[in-house]
Amino acid sequence: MAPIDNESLHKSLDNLSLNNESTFNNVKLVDITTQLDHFCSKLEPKAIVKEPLFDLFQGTHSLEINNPKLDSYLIPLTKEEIEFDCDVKHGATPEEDLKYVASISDRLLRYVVSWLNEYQSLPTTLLSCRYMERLLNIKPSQQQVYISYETGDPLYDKALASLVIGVSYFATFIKGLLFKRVIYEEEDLNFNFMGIQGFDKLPEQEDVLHALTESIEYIFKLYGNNLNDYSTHLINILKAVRCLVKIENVITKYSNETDYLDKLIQIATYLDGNELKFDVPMGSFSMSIQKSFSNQFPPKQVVTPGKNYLGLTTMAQDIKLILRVAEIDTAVEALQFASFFNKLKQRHVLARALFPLFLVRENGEVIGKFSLEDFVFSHCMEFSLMSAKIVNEINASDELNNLLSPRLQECANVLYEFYQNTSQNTARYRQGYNRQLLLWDSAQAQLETVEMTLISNKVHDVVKNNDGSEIPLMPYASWVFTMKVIAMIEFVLKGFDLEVYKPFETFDMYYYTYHLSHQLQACLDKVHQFIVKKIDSIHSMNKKIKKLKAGEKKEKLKLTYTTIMEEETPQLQTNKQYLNYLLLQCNMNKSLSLFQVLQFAILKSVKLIDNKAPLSSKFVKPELIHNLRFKTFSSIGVPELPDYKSFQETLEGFVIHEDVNSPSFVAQLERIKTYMIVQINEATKCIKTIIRAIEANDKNGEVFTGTRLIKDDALHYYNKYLGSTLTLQANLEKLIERIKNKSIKNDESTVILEFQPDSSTYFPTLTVVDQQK
Amino acid sequence: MEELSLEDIVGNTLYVTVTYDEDIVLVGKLEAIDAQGNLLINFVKEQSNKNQKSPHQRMLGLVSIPRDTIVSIRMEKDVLAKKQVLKQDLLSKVI
Repeated sequence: MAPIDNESLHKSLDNLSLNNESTFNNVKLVDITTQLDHFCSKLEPKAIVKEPLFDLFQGTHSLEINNPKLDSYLIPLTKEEIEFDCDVKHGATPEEDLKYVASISDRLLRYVVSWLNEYQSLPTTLLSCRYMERLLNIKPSQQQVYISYETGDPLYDKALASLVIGVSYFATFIKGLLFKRVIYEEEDLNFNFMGIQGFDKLPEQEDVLHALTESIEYIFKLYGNNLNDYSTHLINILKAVRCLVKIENVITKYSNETDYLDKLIQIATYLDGNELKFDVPMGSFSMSIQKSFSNQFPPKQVVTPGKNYLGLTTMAQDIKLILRVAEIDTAVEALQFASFFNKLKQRHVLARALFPLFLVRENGEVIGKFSLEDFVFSHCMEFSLMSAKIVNEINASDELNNLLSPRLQECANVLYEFYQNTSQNTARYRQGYNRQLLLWDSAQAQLETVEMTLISNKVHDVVKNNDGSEIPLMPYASWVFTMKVIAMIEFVLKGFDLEVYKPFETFDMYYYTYHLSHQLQACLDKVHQFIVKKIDSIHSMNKKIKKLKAGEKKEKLKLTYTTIMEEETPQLQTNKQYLNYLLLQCNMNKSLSLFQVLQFAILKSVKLIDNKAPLSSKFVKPELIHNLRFKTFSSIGVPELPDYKSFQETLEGFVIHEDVNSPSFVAQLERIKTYMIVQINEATKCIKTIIRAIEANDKNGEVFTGTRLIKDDALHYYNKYLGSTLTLQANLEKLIERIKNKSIKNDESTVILEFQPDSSTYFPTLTVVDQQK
Repeated sequence: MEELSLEDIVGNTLYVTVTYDEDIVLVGKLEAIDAQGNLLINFVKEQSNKNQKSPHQRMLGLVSIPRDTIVSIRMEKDVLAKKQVLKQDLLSKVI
């Protein structure tokens, strides 16, 4: 571009120096209103001139000036709100001042619950408090937020100020969690801090706690033995806030101390049982902050908090629960803890945020005990790696070690992602699996390459295939495969829980779950067989020793035997029991999925449903819809996704093609029903065995579930599965009955996916209902 | 300003005064304008110098301003002058 010559510029500037010139903040401006109007008048009525990179769709999110619903400048404020002064007392008497301070404090504490438990925004809860705004709205030159007002009354200046700072400190801690990306703005909570600088300039935790303690002592001193309902209430609120301020210790000191959480539960219970009638000073809570501070949102009414103290109990109990992860002894326990703690019920947002940070520390250590790489190794050892030849071989070879280490590092990253994902909100949780599957798949492929090198060196364990041939164990790849397929099954079934699928997709999804379970079972059987073989070979050593004559050879073998018995056998036994558990779980999903597949086939046989989208058109083919649904799995190498044709052929294979009124139809229906009951019984057997093991704390010697620390949640989960066996069977009986007595009218009936009480949301029933319903 | 067109103005910082409070100035980047003169302005700062001791300023993000609420639209004089010179220079070369 040519440089601008000064003469032309001055000339141009002179031309602009008309009556329409002005200054704003020392910037010389020219009024161009008339010219713009003139330009616009020449445009076509529907024309829009825009910046090339600007997406007009964004415009739909814009705030419209002069629209009361969107323009926060137009928020009407009362005289009391405009004139509200935090530096004067609002009560006419000391008693009234106590009531006011207690009422403001009470409301602030309830707002903490509204904000965190009830998904309310910060400006409509905590930041609507003028006392909060007053302390946090600091000048850029101010180094730190002051813990005081200037009323001259310590109740306001000390007690209320310390409480406001305590709540602000806690809010800032939550803000920090958002930055760590363990929870997400809008999805999990809202931290619209309106550009207020004070959040980043709060005193240290110690000073905040000290201020709160001083306030409690002051009130005790002020009222001595004459504590009334209001002063007692205020003291309890101050104590509750002190507990909130301490929560950060979970990730700053990695403390699993729970005394302050117990105290919080106790205080919340007290407050819940001692509700007082409060009036806050007029204007002390207002929408004014939305009007005067940075705000990219439409105006919203200030929340009227409910009697929600027990929300603090929920929060404290959930945090206490996640802190139990510090007690894990084994990798399986960690895996099970993570799998169950947030599965049936979405835990409190704070507990979900703290869990991944508490589990995997800033230095990369898992609960401060082992590195992520060691953690991966433990997962493998507690599954398939114990006593495998590969372990010694790798330990003895730097070359092999160097080959394996980067692959295990890759696994550590995926495992980290897995643990992070378990605490996400339900929608993101499934999305997380979507991302994870490809990572597991890639990790498996890489580990297989390393293990193939060992196989070519003839250093590997083998197990027998169904046909009697030998196949390599590949302990590392088998573990990754298991993790991957379990994640795939979870991803598919979670879709039912989240109501992602339409009834017509049920067959495809359950058939795929069945297919995956079948593949998983083969892998688990392989590892199980290896472990049993190892245990047997160790036991046979004893017989061998007995047969040997006394001597050096016998002594050497004896020593080896003793070492193996001490160091390997207990873990092998646990692994066998853990494999038993995984097999039971796999079988449970497999049987229930097959049941659903057959239920769908029966419904198709009576022409109530098909596995094709009802609104297929020339542009939307059923195969396209199917492929879109299975897009996630299309890139997975192993197990390979069956093609569309095989889904169709399988379904057709199950459908009864005879006339509904013919005797052979009824006979076939009965046969299918009998087979489906077998599946239900099989699933029931598996579930009951798992439940028995959990109830017996894994001490019945058959099954190791690793759910010691998360027993209630695990029991709840499997009991819901047990409930599903009953509801699915009842639904089947009902359907067969209706088919037999011909009470289903096809043109008036439809099939829905129905969640049944006390049943698993992974297996909703395919229920026939009137179309009108 | 005859040499300029709307395309030259779009993308520049505008200072918009609105009807409900003429002490308030909305300063932001013009993203789009339609035939009716309605504006879409981004990164908007709401500024006021009503109180000389503590001038008010807050961020509003993306804002749409209907034409009937606009009192005046202003642009930085230097920027406008440079635009004009560049346009004149370009036109003279082309013609």
